[in-house]
Amino acid sequence: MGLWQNQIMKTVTIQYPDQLDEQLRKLVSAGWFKTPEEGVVEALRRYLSGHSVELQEKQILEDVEWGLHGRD
Amino acid sequence: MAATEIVAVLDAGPLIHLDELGRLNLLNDFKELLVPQTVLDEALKHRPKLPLAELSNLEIISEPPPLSANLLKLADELALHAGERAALAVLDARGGQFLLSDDAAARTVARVVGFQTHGTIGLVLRASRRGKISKVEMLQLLRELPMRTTLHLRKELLDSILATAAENI
Repeated sequence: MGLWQNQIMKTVTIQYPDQLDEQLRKLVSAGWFKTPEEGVVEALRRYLSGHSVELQEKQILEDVEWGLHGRD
Repeated sequence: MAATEIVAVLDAGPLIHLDELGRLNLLNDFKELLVPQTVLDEALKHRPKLPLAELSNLEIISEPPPLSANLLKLADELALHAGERAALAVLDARGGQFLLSDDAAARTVARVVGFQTHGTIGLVLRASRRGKISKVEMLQLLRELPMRTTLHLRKELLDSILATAAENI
Protein backbone atom coordinates (compact mmCIF):
# COMPACT_ATOMS: atom_id res chain seq x y z
CA MET A 1 0.00 0.00 0.00
CA GLY A 2 3.06 2.29 -0.18
CA LEU A 3 1.93 5.74 0.94
CA TRP A 4 -0.68 4.31 3.29
CA GLN A 5 1.38 1.53 4.90
CA ASN A 6 1.33 2.99 8.42
CA GLN A 7 -2.38 3.89 8.33
CA ILE A 8 -5.24 1.96 9.87
CA MET A 9 -7.00 0.42 6.88
CA LYS A 10 -10.68 -0.36 6.29
CA THR A 11 -11.87 -3.30 4.23
CA VAL A 12 -14.83 -2.98 1.87
CA THR A 13 -16.18 -5.34 -0.74
CA ILE A 14 -17.23 -3.64 -3.98
CA GLN A 15 -18.60 -4.68 -7.33
CA TYR A 16 -17.51 -2.80 -10.41
CA PRO A 17 -17.94 -3.33 -14.15
CA ASP A 18 -15.67 -5.59 -16.15
CA GLN A 19 -14.73 -2.63 -18.32
CA LEU A 20 -13.28 -0.75 -15.35
CA ASP A 21 -11.54 -3.91 -14.15
CA GLU A 22 -9.93 -4.34 -17.54
CA GLN A 23 -8.62 -0.75 -17.47
CA LEU A 24 -7.39 -1.15 -13.91
CA ARG A 25 -5.53 -4.39 -14.68
CA LYS A 26 -3.85 -2.74 -17.67
CA LEU A 27 -2.46 -0.10 -15.30
CA VAL A 28 -1.26 -2.81 -12.93
CA SER A 29 0.37 -4.71 -15.80
CA ALA A 30 2.07 -1.52 -16.95
CA GLY A 31 3.52 -1.02 -13.49
CA TRP A 32 1.46 1.95 -12.34
CA PHE A 33 0.19 -0.02 -9.33
CA LYS A 34 1.40 -3.15 -7.58
CA THR A 35 -2.15 -4.46 -7.16
CA PRO A 36 -5.69 -3.56 -8.34
CA GLU A 37 -6.48 -2.60 -4.73
CA GLU A 38 -3.74 0.03 -4.83
CA GLY A 39 -5.28 1.47 -8.00
CA VAL A 40 -8.73 1.65 -6.41
CA VAL A 41 -7.34 3.47 -3.35
CA GLU A 42 -5.52 5.96 -5.59
CA ALA A 43 -8.68 6.61 -7.64
CA LEU A 44 -10.62 7.18 -4.41
CA ARG A 45 -7.94 9.51 -3.04
CA ARG A 46 -7.95 11.59 -6.19
CA TYR A 47 -11.74 11.83 -6.27
CA LEU A 48 -12.02 12.81 -2.62
CA SER A 49 -9.26 15.41 -2.90
CA GLY A 50 -11.34 17.33 -5.41
CA HIS A 51 -14.79 16.88 -3.88
CA SER A 52 -14.71 17.91 -0.24
CA VAL A 53 -18.00 19.22 1.17
CA GLU A 54 -16.27 22.49 2.14
CA LEU A 55 -14.98 23.05 -1.38
CA GLN A 56 -18.33 22.30 -3.00
CA GLU A 57 -20.22 24.62 -0.68
CA LYS A 58 -17.66 27.40 -1.10
CA GLN A 59 -18.06 27.16 -4.86
CA ILE A 60 -21.85 27.23 -4.58
CA LEU A 61 -21.76 30.36 -2.41
CA GLU A 62 -19.44 32.08 -4.90
CA ASP A 63 -21.88 31.08 -7.62
CA VAL A 64 -24.77 32.61 -5.67
CA GLU A 65 -22.85 35.88 -5.52
CA TRP A 66 -22.32 35.79 -9.30
CA GLY A 67 -25.91 34.81 -9.94
CA LEU A 68 -27.19 37.74 -7.91
CA HIS A 69 -24.68 40.44 -8.76
CA GLY A 70 -22.71 39.39 -11.86
CA ARG A 71 -22.71 41.50 -14.99
CA ASP A 72 -23.00 38.83 -17.65
CA MET B 1 -33.28 39.94 -22.99
CA ALA B 2 -30.39 40.13 -25.44
CA ALA B 3 -27.78 37.43 -25.58
CA THR B 4 -24.52 38.06 -23.78
CA GLU B 5 -21.14 37.96 -25.51
CA ILE B 6 -20.14 34.99 -23.38
CA VAL B 7 -18.96 31.73 -24.89
CA ALA B 8 -19.80 28.94 -22.43
CA VAL B 9 -19.02 25.25 -22.41
CA LEU B 10 -21.39 22.80 -20.78
CA ASP B 11 -20.59 19.91 -18.52
CA ALA B 12 -23.36 17.37 -17.87
CA GLY B 13 -24.51 18.67 -14.46
CA PRO B 14 -26.33 21.90 -15.44
CA LEU B 15 -27.69 20.24 -18.59
CA ILE B 16 -29.28 17.49 -16.49
CA HIS B 17 -30.37 19.63 -13.54
CA LEU B 18 -31.90 22.46 -15.57
CA ASP B 19 -33.81 19.90 -17.64
CA GLU B 20 -35.03 18.26 -14.43
CA LEU B 21 -36.38 21.70 -13.53
CA GLY B 22 -37.95 22.06 -16.99
CA ARG B 23 -35.82 25.14 -17.58
CA LEU B 24 -33.13 24.19 -20.07
CA ASN B 25 -33.98 27.41 -21.87
CA LEU B 26 -32.16 29.42 -19.18
CA LEU B 27 -29.05 28.56 -21.19
CA ASN B 28 -30.21 30.12 -24.44
CA ASP B 29 -28.83 33.61 -23.92
CA PHE B 30 -25.15 32.84 -24.13
CA LYS B 31 -23.57 33.94 -27.40
CA GLU B 32 -22.30 30.40 -27.97
CA LEU B 33 -23.10 27.32 -25.93
CA LEU B 34 -20.71 24.48 -26.68
CA VAL B 35 -21.14 20.89 -25.55
CA PRO B 36 -18.75 18.04 -26.27
CA GLN B 37 -20.46 14.90 -27.59
CA THR B 38 -19.10 12.94 -24.57
CA VAL B 39 -20.91 15.31 -22.21
CA LEU B 40 -24.09 15.14 -24.24
CA ASP B 41 -23.99 11.34 -24.24
CA GLU B 42 -23.68 11.35 -20.44
CA ALA B 43 -26.59 13.77 -20.07
CA LEU B 44 -28.75 11.74 -22.46
CA LYS B 45 -28.19 8.64 -20.33
CA HIS B 46 -29.94 10.46 -17.49
CA ARG B 47 -32.35 12.56 -19.57
CA PRO B 48 -33.10 10.70 -22.84
CA LYS B 49 -35.62 13.33 -23.95
CA LEU B 50 -33.47 16.42 -23.49
CA PRO B 51 -35.24 19.20 -25.45
CA LEU B 52 -32.13 20.42 -27.22
CA ALA B 53 -34.26 22.33 -29.74
CA GLU B 54 -34.79 24.93 -26.98
CA LEU B 55 -31.13 25.85 -27.33
CA SER B 56 -30.65 27.56 -30.66
CA ASN B 57 -27.17 28.64 -29.56
CA LEU B 58 -26.02 25.05 -28.91
CA GLU B 59 -23.11 23.62 -30.86
CA ILE B 60 -22.19 19.98 -30.38
CA ILE B 61 -18.47 19.33 -30.58
CA SER B 62 -18.02 15.78 -31.85
CA GLU B 63 -14.25 15.66 -31.62
CA PRO B 64 -12.81 17.83 -28.83
CA PRO B 65 -9.16 18.78 -29.16
CA PRO B 66 -6.60 17.18 -26.85
CA LEU B 67 -6.01 18.82 -23.48
CA SER B 68 -2.97 21.04 -23.13
CA ALA B 69 -0.15 19.59 -21.02
CA ASN B 70 -0.99 21.90 -18.12
CA LEU B 71 -4.68 20.98 -18.11
CA LEU B 72 -3.89 17.29 -18.55
CA LYS B 73 -1.71 17.28 -15.46
CA LEU B 74 -4.43 18.96 -13.37
CA ALA B 75 -7.15 16.74 -14.79
CA ASP B 76 -5.14 13.65 -13.92
CA GLU B 77 -4.44 14.86 -10.40
CA LEU B 78 -8.11 15.46 -9.69
CA ALA B 79 -9.26 12.37 -11.59
CA LEU B 80 -11.62 14.24 -13.93
CA HIS B 81 -13.99 12.17 -16.07
CA ALA B 82 -13.86 12.06 -19.86
CA GLY B 83 -16.70 14.56 -20.23
CA GLU B 84 -15.12 17.08 -17.87
CA ARG B 85 -11.80 16.76 -19.71
CA ALA B 86 -13.51 17.27 -23.05
CA ALA B 87 -15.36 20.35 -21.77
CA LEU B 88 -12.12 21.91 -20.52
CA ALA B 89 -10.36 21.13 -23.80
CA VAL B 90 -13.14 22.82 -25.80
CA LEU B 91 -13.18 25.81 -23.46
CA ASP B 92 -9.45 26.22 -23.89
CA ALA B 93 -9.37 25.73 -27.66
CA ARG B 94 -12.41 27.91 -28.46
CA GLY B 95 -11.44 30.82 -26.24
CA GLY B 96 -14.49 30.40 -24.04
CA GLN B 97 -15.05 32.25 -20.78
CA PHE B 98 -17.36 30.02 -18.71
CA LEU B 99 -17.32 26.38 -17.75
CA LEU B 100 -20.87 25.51 -16.70
CA SER B 101 -20.47 22.60 -14.29
CA ASP B 102 -21.68 21.36 -10.93
CA ASP B 103 -18.58 19.25 -10.36
CA ALA B 104 -16.21 20.64 -7.74
CA ALA B 105 -13.07 19.11 -9.20
CA ALA B 106 -13.78 20.26 -12.76
CA ARG B 107 -14.54 23.73 -11.45
CA THR B 108 -11.31 23.77 -9.48
CA VAL B 109 -9.23 22.88 -12.52
CA ALA B 110 -11.01 25.47 -14.67
CA ARG B 111 -10.40 28.20 -12.12
CA VAL B 112 -6.74 27.34 -11.69
CA VAL B 113 -6.18 28.04 -15.39
CA GLY B 114 -8.21 31.25 -15.35
CA PHE B 115 -11.73 30.37 -16.50
CA GLN B 116 -14.91 31.36 -14.70
CA THR B 117 -17.12 28.50 -13.59
CA HIS B 118 -20.79 28.52 -12.73
CA GLY B 119 -23.33 25.88 -11.87
CA THR B 120 -27.04 25.23 -11.83
CA ILE B 121 -27.81 27.44 -8.84
CA GLY B 122 -25.89 30.41 -10.22
CA LEU B 123 -27.64 30.00 -13.58
CA VAL B 124 -31.10 30.06 -11.96
CA LEU B 125 -30.20 33.22 -10.01
CA ARG B 126 -28.69 34.81 -13.11
CA ALA B 127 -31.89 34.15 -15.04
CA SER B 128 -33.82 36.17 -12.47
CA ARG B 129 -31.23 38.96 -12.46
CA ARG B 130 -31.47 39.17 -16.26
CA GLY B 131 -35.27 39.17 -16.21
CA LYS B 132 -35.71 35.80 -17.93
CA ILE B 133 -37.75 34.50 -15.00
CA SER B 134 -39.56 36.27 -12.19
CA LYS B 135 -38.20 36.45 -8.66
CA VAL B 136 -41.10 34.26 -7.56
CA GLU B 137 -40.23 31.58 -10.09
CA MET B 138 -36.54 31.77 -9.22
CA LEU B 139 -37.29 31.18 -5.54
CA GLN B 140 -39.66 28.36 -6.42
CA LEU B 141 -37.08 26.65 -8.64
CA LEU B 142 -34.46 26.87 -5.89
CA ARG B 143 -36.92 25.61 -3.28
CA GLU B 144 -37.80 22.64 -5.47
CA LEU B 145 -34.22 21.62 -6.25
CA PRO B 146 -34.17 18.74 -3.73
CA MET B 147 -37.48 17.28 -4.94
CA ARG B 148 -37.13 17.75 -8.67
CA THR B 149 -33.42 17.32 -9.33
CA THR B 150 -30.51 15.03 -8.61
CA LEU B 151 -28.37 17.96 -7.46
CA HIS B 152 -27.37 17.27 -3.89
CA LEU B 153 -27.58 20.20 -1.50
CA ARG B 154 -27.51 20.34 2.28
CA LYS B 155 -30.82 21.68 3.59
CA GLU B 156 -29.20 24.39 5.73
CA LEU B 157 -27.17 25.61 2.76
CA LEU B 158 -30.26 25.77 0.55
CA ASP B 159 -32.16 27.68 3.24
CA SER B 160 -29.31 30.17 3.46
CA ILE B 161 -29.25 30.59 -0.35
CA LEU B 162 -33.01 31.12 -0.42
CA ALA B 163 -32.78 33.79 2.27
CA THR B 164 -29.96 35.57 0.44
CA ALA B 165 -31.78 35.38 -2.88
CA ALA B 166 -35.02 36.70 -1.38
CA GLU B 167 -33.18 39.70 0.07
CA ASN B 168 -31.07 40.56 -2.96
CA ILE B 169 -33.19 40.43 -6.05
